[in-house]
Amino acid sequence: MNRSENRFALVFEPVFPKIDEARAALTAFLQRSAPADAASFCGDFCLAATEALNNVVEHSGASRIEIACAVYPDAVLLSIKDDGKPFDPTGKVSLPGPEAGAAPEGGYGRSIVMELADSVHYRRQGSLNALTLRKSWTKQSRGGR
Amino acid sequence: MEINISMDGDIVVMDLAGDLVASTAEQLKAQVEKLADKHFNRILLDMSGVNFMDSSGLGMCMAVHKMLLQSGGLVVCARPSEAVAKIFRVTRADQKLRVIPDRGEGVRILHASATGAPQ
Repeated sequence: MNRSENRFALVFEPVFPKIDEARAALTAFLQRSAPADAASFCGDFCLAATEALNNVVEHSGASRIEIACAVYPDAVLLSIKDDGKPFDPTGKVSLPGPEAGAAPEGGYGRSIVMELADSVHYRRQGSLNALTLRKSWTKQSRGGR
Repeated sequence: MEINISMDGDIVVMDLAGDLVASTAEQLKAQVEKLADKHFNRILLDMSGVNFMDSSGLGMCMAVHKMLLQSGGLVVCARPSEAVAKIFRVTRADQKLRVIPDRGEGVRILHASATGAPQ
């Protein structure tokens, strides 16, 4: 683990209990780094990060995840890299409407990432999946009504 | 996560505490399955103690909703924090299952569902 004033990095095994630990560490880092009125921001960003990490565990078959978070005056950037098979979570997703029949039990994760982060970029970087989430300190998510 | 179970008449009240996430969500489903096996199919989930919920936790709420509907029952999610309520909203899951701010109102809805009274 490496921490400085506005950067945070962590490497861990892609299993759900480790994601819980990573979320706790990321939350603590953001709370130290964020403006006093940014509690909602931290919650949204950590949820988006959790969903992106859940996707790695569920879909990429990776053996290692590396996250790096950087805080800037206007925004937070989170890089997530894993050594699994190619998996692009930014593909078009749609939420089931209220008219749909049976209630779905899954499929919400990717849409939550896309909803709560301002931008999500994926690229294959050699043998790694590289995902970057960005969220502005000031922009409200659409779910913030 | 911690799950405390109590009864309000024949309504099951489950007080949830902790994180409802991928690593814990199966606990909730297992408890509801046990209750459903004993024909307790009207359940209030008091979510006021849930600090954090992700899509796995949400998916589990939807699985419980589906399971209970199939047996003629109902689940009501009551007293979510603002952060948890937001997840129900942004995914539109709150248009499929009952998410309400008040526990007493949730119990009333569940009692009414047994008698066929308006909810």
